[in-house]
Amino acid sequence: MTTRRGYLVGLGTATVAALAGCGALDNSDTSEPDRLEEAELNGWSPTEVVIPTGLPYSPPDSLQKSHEDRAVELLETVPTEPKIPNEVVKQSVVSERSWAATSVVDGSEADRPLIVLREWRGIRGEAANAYGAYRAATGTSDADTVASRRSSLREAWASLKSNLDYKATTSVEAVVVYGPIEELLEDAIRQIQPRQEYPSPAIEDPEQAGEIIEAIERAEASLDDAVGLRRDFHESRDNLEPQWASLAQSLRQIEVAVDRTESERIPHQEAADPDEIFVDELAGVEEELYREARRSVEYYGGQGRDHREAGRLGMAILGAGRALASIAVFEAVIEGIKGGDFPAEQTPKTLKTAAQEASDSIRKVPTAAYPYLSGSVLDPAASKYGSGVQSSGEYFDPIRAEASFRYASLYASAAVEAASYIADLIEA
Amino acid sequence: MPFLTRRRMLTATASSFALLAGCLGSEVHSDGAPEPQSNRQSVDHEYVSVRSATESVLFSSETDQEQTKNSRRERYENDFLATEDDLDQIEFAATEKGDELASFVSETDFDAKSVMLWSSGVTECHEIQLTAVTIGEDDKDPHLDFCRRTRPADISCNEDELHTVAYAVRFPLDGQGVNSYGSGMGSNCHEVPRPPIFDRTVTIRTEGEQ
Repeated sequence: MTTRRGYLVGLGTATVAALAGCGALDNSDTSEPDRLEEAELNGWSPTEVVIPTGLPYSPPDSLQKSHEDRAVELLETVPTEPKIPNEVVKQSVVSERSWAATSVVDGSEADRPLIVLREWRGIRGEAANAYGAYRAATGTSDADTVASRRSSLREAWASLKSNLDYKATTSVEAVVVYGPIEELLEDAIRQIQPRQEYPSPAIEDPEQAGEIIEAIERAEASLDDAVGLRRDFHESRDNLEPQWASLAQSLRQIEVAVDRTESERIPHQEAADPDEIFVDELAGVEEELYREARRSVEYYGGQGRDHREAGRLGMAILGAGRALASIAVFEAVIEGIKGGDFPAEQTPKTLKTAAQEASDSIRKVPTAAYPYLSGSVLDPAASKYGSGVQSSGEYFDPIRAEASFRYASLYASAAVEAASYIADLIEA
Repeated sequence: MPFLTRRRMLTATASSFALLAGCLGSEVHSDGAPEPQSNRQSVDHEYVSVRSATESVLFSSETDQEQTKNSRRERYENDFLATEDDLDQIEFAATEKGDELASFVSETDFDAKSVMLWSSGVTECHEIQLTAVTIGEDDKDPHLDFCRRTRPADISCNEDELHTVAYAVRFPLDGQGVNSYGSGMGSNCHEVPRPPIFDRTVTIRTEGEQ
């Protein structure tokens, strides 16, 4: 049975795949080489890879357990067969409850602790949705509670944000510990800020009531994790020192470094046109890889300033790391295409080799000089590897699969180099 | 060649639009509440709406009476009335709901105003709200936008039961230059309309001007 969460993940992936696939429509001319057929792979599937964590400590299970307990507590107040006269509303509440209850039982299958927590926050939110919708559908208005919870959460958020002193044993450690905490604070404030009014009377729109209660619950869950992660980290170390000033100073240098790297190593807009760079027209894996590499440079570049101006020092530095790694990958892709390093014709062997190299490259990350910083910068490689796995099987698209694996492989190596470079700037 | 009245031509145009949009006879054709397009402007309007659990057809035109429709499709109707003659070709149900529509339409001064009639099937647990009444900025063609939402939770209803809703909307234009008309439906009634663009202007004061 597909869980709601699984369904949503599927939708997200499908959307990304569909968006990414739009460009592929352009190569459907007759000059394109024959595509691999699924049967040629003889049931092969890529190796499962445990993505290295970026957290330098293991958060205790109590954080996810508290999400689970809260989800169960919320669901216990919603009957499996609620007495709601409107059949559509009743079915909606029953479905929400059922999805959430199934999710609680399924839990998270993610490998990294931060992803596990994110999935549990989602489950807790689903349970809150069922709870809020049921109460509204049965005539209970939570309008006052919504207002007071938003207010108290905003105070808690502000207090946590202003007291974030980035205590760690080193500045590099502060980046990997507080970057995720900043992200949680971001998630929380986004959910606290009202986007829609609580319905009045609530009984007229239980769906909207459920969504609002869910947003507030997710905000509270994010704050719980932010507080919990900071507490657990503090308890796991002695000799913690505030690193805020040091990070702020380093960030200035890192921004300049990213700007200089970008202007030196990335061709400007017109020159980045593949027709200007390559003699032959790109096709197949090369075209997909070039497109992905260029898109990543555009996506990851330019995020750092927003984070710095909002005071998110850890996220700004991690973003800079991703931007630098993307630049190195883009350059490598251009050189690789020019040098004929990517096989002109795709075969089962080229696909399998690309997958193997990607998994090897990702597995090496924990042995790097800065394993956690590298692991924190690694996200794009992890998602590309996942995309390669899906394109090899579920959404069979061998060209996209091989391009994803090749991108993941290059990016994992680049992440290690970018992390080392950034660490040098921080420690200088 | 049979003579096509102006209203019949309009009907043909409206049907074509509906077919193109893939929405003829269906209740929803987009995910969000439709926003007025940038080349359309909202207009002052008056309207009346009725809902019936027992009458599948609340009004019909001569054209529709000639066509054979199945039970689901017969609830969908979209007509633009620019003149008294157009009104004469509409038959309203001889019921309280039909009378309510007929009364509203017949009070229209067709020298200065026009009316759009719209009806559709809707399940017992849902309702249809009018969200926008617009005309084209250039061609002045009228357009109605609706959204569908679930009715309050305490209304006892069954998803298998079908009702008919009808709207009569009075436009502040005489309708003589109208070439086509249409309607749209969204499933999200919470969409906040986009604010208008900032269109204030300033002028440079010449010397000596106060």
